[in-house]
This record gives sequence, structure tokens and C-alpha cells, in this order.
Amino acid sequence: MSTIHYFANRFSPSRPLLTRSIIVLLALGGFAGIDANAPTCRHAFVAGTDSHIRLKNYMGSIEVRSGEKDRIVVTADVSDDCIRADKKGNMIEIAAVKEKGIRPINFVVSIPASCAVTLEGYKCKITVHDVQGDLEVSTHEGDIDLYKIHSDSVKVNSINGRIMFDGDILANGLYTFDSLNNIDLFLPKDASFDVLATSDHDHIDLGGFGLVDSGSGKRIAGRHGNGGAKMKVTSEGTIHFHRR
Amino acid sequence: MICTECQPRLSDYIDGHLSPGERLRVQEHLSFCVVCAVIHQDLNLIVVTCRELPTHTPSPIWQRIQAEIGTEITANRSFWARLWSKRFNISLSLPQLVLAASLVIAGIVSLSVIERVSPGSIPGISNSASVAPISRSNTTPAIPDDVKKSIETYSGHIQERMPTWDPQMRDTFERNMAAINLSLDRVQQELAVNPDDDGSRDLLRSAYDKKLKLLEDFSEF
Repeated sequence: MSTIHYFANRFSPSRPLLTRSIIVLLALGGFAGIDANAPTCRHAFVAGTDSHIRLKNYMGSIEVRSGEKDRIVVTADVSDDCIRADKKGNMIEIAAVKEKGIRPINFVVSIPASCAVTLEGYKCKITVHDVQGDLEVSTHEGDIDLYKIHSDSVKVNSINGRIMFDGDILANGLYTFDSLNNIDLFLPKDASFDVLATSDHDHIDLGGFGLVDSGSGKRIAGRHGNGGAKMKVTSEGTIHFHRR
Repeated sequence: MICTECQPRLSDYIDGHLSPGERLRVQEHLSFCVVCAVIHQDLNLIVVTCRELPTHTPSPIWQRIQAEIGTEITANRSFWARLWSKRFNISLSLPQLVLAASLVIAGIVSLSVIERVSPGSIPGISNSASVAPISRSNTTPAIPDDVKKSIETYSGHIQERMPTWDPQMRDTFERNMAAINLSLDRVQQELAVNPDDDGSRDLLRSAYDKKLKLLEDFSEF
């Protein structure tokens, strides 16, 4: 008999004892994982289809998702006095209060899909899902990831953050993307647009989008499909178009 | 790299005669040293402006007269006199002379301004000269005056307030400003070589927009 088997047989606990031990351990683990005093704040607003939310955060993250059609809900992992929330008409303004000290704050926002969104971050990662209203996003350093965007007005600027856009290109829409860092655009293969793309390192990858009248090198101007939507992409890193 | 090492290399840096390593070190120094950045911009400006000056071609009659006089004079001159006349035989038109004089004066004035700026000032934003784009030529994109003025105003404000900032915020600001200045520098060099490059013009405008945005955002602190 091996040593392991010897000890296993000698010290095997009874089934009730084992069950109780597991319950106690799980309970202890659960309490340890949940900090009852962790600050959170939550603001909810009634919102119409033409509502607009503007959110400003210095550090941390912002995540925006479409949720209920008539409500905007904002939560953050700080106490209530660290956030300023105002509603004036259709405009809802949320901002981190810098007088309370610049600290990482993680916002999670739920909005009606048609709500216009303006997000501003300094050192702040921004993620947006399923938005259909006008979208304007800017950061200094944080990466910007936009998923399932169905909007005809998208303006994304970052000084040094990476930009990823995965969405539709609507007829006569306006789309601008600008960063010193890399830009990746995931677009439907049948999208129609006029594009002007400029990259400092001649790294523009059209990803199979054949453009009519395209230039070459660091500046490419051309049309895909019937044109219509206008797209301007400026990067000092790489620009990659991806067909989906 | 320190200023005394950087400044003698600026000319070669602009002409692209430095080794990649030296070039990187100069670039790095320029990203945070206002004094050298201003001198670099002034030198760059002179290079660009001179490249765009029309070449002065003397008329055939004047060339003939000059040749005749030259042959007679040189025949009777000593070696040193011939050398003297050869070295300083520069023919410039009046507009060229005026422009050269004004550039020299502008250079002297800007250097005297620089001396008053403290060495530890904010990288790339401490005075208007450091953010002034090369905008004299027709081919280089002009940065609107209101943008320049705004940059100047915000820079002054930030310079006053920066010592009170949270260190993390200051790091963020300096890092981003250095990245923008590096970008501006690179694009301006490309424009100096190829003033008609539309791509570089786009990138220059974009970099100035970023600079303005960064200054504007941080001026609230």
C-alpha cells in the first residue's frame, strides 16, 4: 500500500463532516470575496428616444450598453459624492468630481439604443456595445472598443489609445477615427463609403476592400460600393480594415 | 543627452545625416526640452524658407560684364585677394537679402526669449515659439491663428498650475505631450523634404488638434 493510500484511508472524514466543512469553507470564501463596505453609486433617469448622455471620467473605465428603452442607468464603483449627475432637458451629464481626488472610477452605463452618447476619458478605457444614436468618444490614453454600432454619426478621437470599431456604415453617415495609435475597423463587406485614410508609416491595410480611385502610400482616398457615407481615418500607427 | 550635446547636432539632424541611434537620442531630447525644440523649429524654418526662395539668375549682359571684369581683375590680383573675392562672391536679390536679415533678427529675438524661460519648464508648451508651426510657405499648411493663440493661452495657464498637479496626472500629460511633439517633429521634417505631401499635411493638422485638445483638457486642473 502506498503512503498516500495509507493516509487517505486513515484520515478519511465521514460524509456529514465533509459536507459541513465544505459549506463553512464556501461561506467564508463568499464573505471574503464580497466587501459589504465597497462604495457604489447608482443614478437612474427617465429617458426618451432623443435623449443624450455625456460622461466624463479621468481614470478607470467606461462601459456603455443598450438596455431598457426608456431609462438610463449609471453605476460606478465609488461613493455618490465622487460623481456629479445632472439632467437638463434631454441632456444627462455625468462626471467624475476631480475635487475628490483623481482616482480610477469604473462606470457602467445602460441606455436606450437610440440615445446619443458623448464619452470623454483621460487615462480611461472605453467600451461601447449596441448603440444606434450619435456617438462621440475621446480619450488621451485609453483604448476605445466599439462593438455592434449602428449609427450614422461616429466620431472617435484618441491621442495615444488604440481604436477598434465594429459596426455598420449607414448611407450618408459620417465616421471619423483619429489616433496616434493603431486603428482597426470591422465593416460589412457590402458597405458603401468614401474614405480618406492617412497613416504615417504607410501602413494602411484595406483588408480586401477594393477602392475605386484609391491613392497609395500614406494617404489613400477612394470609394467602396456606391459611396455615400463619408469616412476619415487618421493614424500614426497602422490602419486595418477588416471585412465581415 | 543634454542641450550642449543636442544643439550642435541639430543641423545634421534636420539634414538626416545622423546615425539612427544619435537621431533617436536627439529626438528624445527634443521631446522634452523646450529650448532645443525652439532652436530646432527655427532652423527647420530657415531650411524650408531657403528651399523655397527663387533662384537668382543674372541676366546674360550682366554675366558677360562680370566675366570681363573678373578676368581683368583676377589677372592682376594676389592669391589672397583672389581667394577673398571667390569666397564672398555671393549674389543675392534684394528680397532675398531682406528675408535673410529678418530671419537673423527673428532668430536673435527668439533666442533672447528662450533665455528667459526656465530650463525646467513644461515640455513643448512653454511659449508660443515652441508651438508655432512652419506656416510661411504656401505649400506648408498654415495653422490658424486662433489655434496658435489658444495653444499659447492654455500653455501659460498649465505652466502656472502644473506644480500643483497629482504626479500621476502630470505623468499622463507629459507622456501624451511628448508623443504629440514627436509626431509634430516627424511630420514637419517630412514636410521640409516634401512640402506637397498631403498625407503629412493631414497628420500635421491632426497633431495640432491633439495638442490643443490635450492642453484644453488639462487646463481645467
